Amino acid sequence: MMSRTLLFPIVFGFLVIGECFVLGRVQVSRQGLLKESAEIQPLPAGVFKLIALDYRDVVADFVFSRVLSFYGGKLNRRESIDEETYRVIYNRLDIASELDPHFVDPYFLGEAVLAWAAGMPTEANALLDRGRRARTDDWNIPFFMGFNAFYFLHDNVRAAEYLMESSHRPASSPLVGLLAARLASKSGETETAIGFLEQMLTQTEDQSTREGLQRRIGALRGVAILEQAVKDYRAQFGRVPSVPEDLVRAGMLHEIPPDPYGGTFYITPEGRVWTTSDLRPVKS
Amino acid sequence: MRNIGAIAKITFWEGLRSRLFFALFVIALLAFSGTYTLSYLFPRDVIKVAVDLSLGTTSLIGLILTLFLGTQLLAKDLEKRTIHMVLAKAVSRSEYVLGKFTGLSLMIICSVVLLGGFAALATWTVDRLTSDAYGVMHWPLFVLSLSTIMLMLILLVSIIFFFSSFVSSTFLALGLTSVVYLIGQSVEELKEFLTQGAEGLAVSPVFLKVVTVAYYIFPNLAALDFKTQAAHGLVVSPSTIIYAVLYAMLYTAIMISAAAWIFQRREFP
Repeated sequence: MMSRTLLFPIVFGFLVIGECFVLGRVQVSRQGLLKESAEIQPLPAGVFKLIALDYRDVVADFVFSRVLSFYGGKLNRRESIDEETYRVIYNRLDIASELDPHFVDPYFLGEAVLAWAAGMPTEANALLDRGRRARTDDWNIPFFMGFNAFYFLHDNVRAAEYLMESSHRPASSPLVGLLAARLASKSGETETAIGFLEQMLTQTEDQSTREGLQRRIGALRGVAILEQAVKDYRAQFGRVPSVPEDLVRAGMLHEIPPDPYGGTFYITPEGRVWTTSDLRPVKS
Repeated sequence: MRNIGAIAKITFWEGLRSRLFFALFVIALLAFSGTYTLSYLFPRDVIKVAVDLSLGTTSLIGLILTLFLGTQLLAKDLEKRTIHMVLAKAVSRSEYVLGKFTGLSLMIICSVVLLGGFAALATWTVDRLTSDAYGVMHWPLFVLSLSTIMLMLILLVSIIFFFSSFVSSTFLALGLTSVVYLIGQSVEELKEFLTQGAEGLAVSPVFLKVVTVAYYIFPNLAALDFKTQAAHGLVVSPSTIIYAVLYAMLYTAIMISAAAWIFQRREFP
C-alpha cells in the first residue's frame, strides 16, 4: 500500500527531472540551428508577394510600420545604425513597395533614410524607381531620384532626365523644369534644355513664369550659338578659343550674344561655354 | 422551386443564429474600431491604410465565416442524418443542394453588406478627419472591392459544396477548400512569376506546365481582388470588372452543378 502511494510522486519526479535534463540537451543541440537561421538571408520581396495572398496591402502596411517604429526608436534613443542594419531597412522597404508599389510612405522614408542618413543613394534610387513606374502621377518620386543623381551620385545627365520626367507630371512645380534644363545644359546638352524649356513655355500661362522661362531660353540660345562657333573654330584652327571675342575676330560670329541675366559668357579650356551669371540674375 | 426557397430560408436563419456568426462580428467590430488609430501611425498614406485595414478585415472575417459556417451547415445534415428526413419528403437531391447553396449565399451577402457597412463607416470617419493631402477616398472602387469579395466568398461556398458532395468528413472538406483558396489566390502570381522568367531561377518546363494546368483548373481568386485599386483609386476598366464577375459566376455555376450531379449519385449510409 505504502509503495503505491509513493509510486506516483517518484515516477512523476523522475519524469520532471528527465524532462528538464532533456530540455537542456535540446537547447544545446538547437544552438547551432538558431545561429544558422539568424544568418539566413532575408527573403526576396517576390516570395512575400506569393505568401501574402490577397492581404498584400495589409502586409505591406505592416512591414512598413515595423521599419518606421524600428528606425524611429533608434533615432529617439540616439543609437547609431550600422551598414548591415541599413541593408535590412532597405530590404524591408523593398518588400513593402514590392507588395504595394503604389504605397507612398516607403518611398519617402527610403529617400530620407537611405539617401541622406545611410549614404546609399544607389539603393534609394533603386527603391524609388519602382515608385516612379507605379505612381505615374506623382512628381515627387522622379524629383527625389533626380536630386539623388545630381547631389549624391554626381550624374547630371541622369539627374536632368529624372527632373524632366518629374516636371511633366501633374502638379509639378515649374521650378523642376528650370532645374532640369540647367542640369542638362551643364552636361553639354544645351539644345535639349532649350527644347525642354520651349515645351514648358507652351504649357505655362502664368506671366512671371513665362518671363522667367523666356529669359532662360534666351541665355541658353546664347550658349548654343557660342558652342557652335567654338566647334567651328576648333575645326578650323585645331584649338579652343580662349575668350568669346576670339570668335568675333576669327569671323565666326558678328557679335557676342548678350546674357539676359546680365552675366558674361566665357569658354573653359575644354571648350565648354558658360556664363558668369550661372543662369541667375546678377546683382548689380 | 418552392422547395429550394424553403430550404434556403431555413439555411439562412440557421446561419444567422449560429454563435460563430455572432463571435466573428464582435471581432470585426473591434478590428474596425482600431482602424482609426492604426491608420494614423502612417505619415502619409493614411486613407490608403484605412482602406487596406477595413477591406482586409471584411475579407478575412468573411473567409473564416464562409469556411467554417459553410462546412458546418452542410455537414450537420449529413452527420446528424437529418438529410434522410429532408430527402424522404418530395425534395429532389439537386433541389436540396440548390436550396442549401442559395441559403448560404444569402447569408454571405448579408454578412458582407453588414461588414462592408462597418468598414465603410470606419474609413469614412478617417476620411472625414483627415485632409486630402493624406489621400482621397474612392467610394465606387470601395464598393466594387466589397462586391468582388462577396463573389469570391460565394465561389468558395460552391467549392465547399463540391467537396462535400463526395467527401464524408467535414474536416476534409474544410481542408480541401482552404487549399483551393490558397492556390486560387497565388496561382496567377506564380504563373506570371514563372513565365516572366525570374532572374537566376531555372524553371523546369514540366513545372511550368503543371502551374499552367493548375491555373485553368483552380479558381483564379486574384481576379476578384480589387483592394489595391480601391486603396489607391487606380483605374479599372469596365471590361476587367465584367469579365471578373462573369468568371466568378460561371465558376460557381460549374461547381454547384458538379456538386448536384455527384450528390444525386451518392449513397448515404
